[in-house]
Amino acid sequence: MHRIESLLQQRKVLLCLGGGGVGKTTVSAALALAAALRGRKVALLTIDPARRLKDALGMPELASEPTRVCLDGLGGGELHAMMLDAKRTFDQLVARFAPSLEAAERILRNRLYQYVSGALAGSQEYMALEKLYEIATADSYDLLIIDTPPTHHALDFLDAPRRMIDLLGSRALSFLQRPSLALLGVGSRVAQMALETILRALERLTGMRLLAEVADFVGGFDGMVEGFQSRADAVRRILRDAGTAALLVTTAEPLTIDETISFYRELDRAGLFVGAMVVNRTVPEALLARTRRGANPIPRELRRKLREARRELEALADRDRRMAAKLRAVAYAVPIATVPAFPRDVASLEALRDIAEVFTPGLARRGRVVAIRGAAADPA
Amino acid sequence: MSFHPILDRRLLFVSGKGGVGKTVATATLALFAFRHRKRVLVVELSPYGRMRELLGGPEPGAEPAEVQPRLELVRIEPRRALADFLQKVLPIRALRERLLASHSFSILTAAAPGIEEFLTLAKIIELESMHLGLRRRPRYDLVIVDAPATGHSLPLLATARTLMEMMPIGPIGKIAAEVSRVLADARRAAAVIVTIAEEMAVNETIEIAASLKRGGSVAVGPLIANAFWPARFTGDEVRWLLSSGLDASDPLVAAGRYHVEKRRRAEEQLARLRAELRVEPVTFPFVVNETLDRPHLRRLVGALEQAVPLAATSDA
Repeated sequence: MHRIESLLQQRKVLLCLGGGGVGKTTVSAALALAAALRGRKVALLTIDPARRLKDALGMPELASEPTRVCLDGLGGGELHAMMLDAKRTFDQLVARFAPSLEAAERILRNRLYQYVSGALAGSQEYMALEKLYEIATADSYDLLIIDTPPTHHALDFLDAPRRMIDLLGSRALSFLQRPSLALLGVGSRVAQMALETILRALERLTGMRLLAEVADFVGGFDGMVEGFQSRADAVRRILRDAGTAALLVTTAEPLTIDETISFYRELDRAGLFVGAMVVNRTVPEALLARTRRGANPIPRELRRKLREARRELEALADRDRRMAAKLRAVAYAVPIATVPAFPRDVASLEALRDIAEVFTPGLARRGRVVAIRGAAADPA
Repeated sequence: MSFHPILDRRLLFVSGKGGVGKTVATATLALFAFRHRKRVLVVELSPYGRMRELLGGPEPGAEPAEVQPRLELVRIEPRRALADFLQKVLPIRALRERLLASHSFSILTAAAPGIEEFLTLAKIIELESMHLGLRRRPRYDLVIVDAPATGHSLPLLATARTLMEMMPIGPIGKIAAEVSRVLADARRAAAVIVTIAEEMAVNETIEIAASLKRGGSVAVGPLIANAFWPARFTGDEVRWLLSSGLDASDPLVAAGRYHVEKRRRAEEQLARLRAELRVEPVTFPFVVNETLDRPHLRRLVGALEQAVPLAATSDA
């Protein structure tokens, strides 16, 4: 069995990680489709899908809950797709852990909360993991595939809950109320005065009202931190579970390959299983097939240009291969799949299936076989 | 008088979606200005910056260092900008370091939006406004900032105005006012947005340009479409290649059709940029490259020299 195929068949959670602009969303969708067509019940969580991909999956404008994708034309299967709505997920989390309705209301109305939940770096990552927890524990799918926001460092993503909880943690409150407590062991008068200077400077920078809001915000979270903490621990357990694998998506751009290599090392150090790597948008092999000279009567000048075009594609394919080899040299035990750059947008399920075919060869054929059998079994 | 949207400005913020080639574009703009006899300072904001691999010179630090005469590189880390600020208000080193290392302090700065961004911006403006010698000529003709990806750049550029509105008086307010005055001067400062001619990147570019125009904190300068697929064939040749009578298994025809299709899609996206933003993007040709090297940069600088939109515009 193709090794990516075995991931799709056996794992329960697949996390697609990678830098910006590598095509993570499309690859995640293709993986999800591949698994669904192979008979697994799949949930796909995407971050920011292109309109055409959304249309291809038949997703409504704001699909923050799973929407079933119609796969009838491809032979059937069960795929549910949704988009991450970080703000909404965060709101639900607050409502879940707030000690009372009023406490929840107070947080949700806080200006700083609105900033933190929507715009602060890390909140999207945090909420993607929260959604992961929600779906994984509900246990209504065989496989959950998660597309992730682009990061420079893989651990930025995995650490998001911890960083966020630190931010929301109660220690900030004690700092604001009694600044000297925050710097343990610095109890002298000089330190006190210095801290007051800093605080005054910061107040001038931020405006008094903002400091008061910080206190209000942090105070509001005080009773909820434990709930958040245990949730984050649960997420950590899921991430390191034997049913979970990370999948690194990259392109063959030299800079991106370097980034992917450091991603891989970080994940490996952090004890997360990297199940596969996908090099996206390589030159399609079919273009480079060494066939006999074609029978077409190509005009001379055009023939020269075409040879040049072909040479450039060959050079590009050569680079692709060298970059994949560079990855392989670092992660020799990890299967690497290359996905050719289809010279069109992925605007339909059929186009997505073409990519899925890379991961689970024979999908198209099987799809037809299933359809014929289905027809034969139908007494009507 | 004609106004060159790059050479006649003093401060450029280069930004765009992740993975579109901001760093390469920044280096190209810097070398382009350098070729036009400008004294150039390149600013990188990431501790993981790779500008040095492109421009050469020593490992960049907190003070500008010469890569070659008239071309300097500096790395401003937002975290360091805060340390610099603390140095001014808290002269005792041991305490300062303790504070910076303190967990609670990092929480406080993370929770108080914009402090580090603002201090970084203030530092950039300070460098831009530096003068030399008795005749008080500017130390740099052009400061080019390799800014973070758009999601993080917008808040960076908006902080000064926000702070100014919050504190119209006082020393910080004064700096904020100066920073936003410099940024808002369209003949002095602009944002250069880099994109690739693909759907998602173009979407984000349209969004960021619109939001910059709405916010009014900085002018939208030249737009760069990076890795733009070259046109190889004439209209007649394209028609011939796409005609139905051909044997598609012919490798030359397949290569030709692939090129035609790639080019067509890139042009489609370029047309969207033109229509939505009413500017003519500068295109950087797609180049097969293994590493970021000088010959590659020279080709891009050449593309910038010949860019019609730069010669023709007077956008300020």
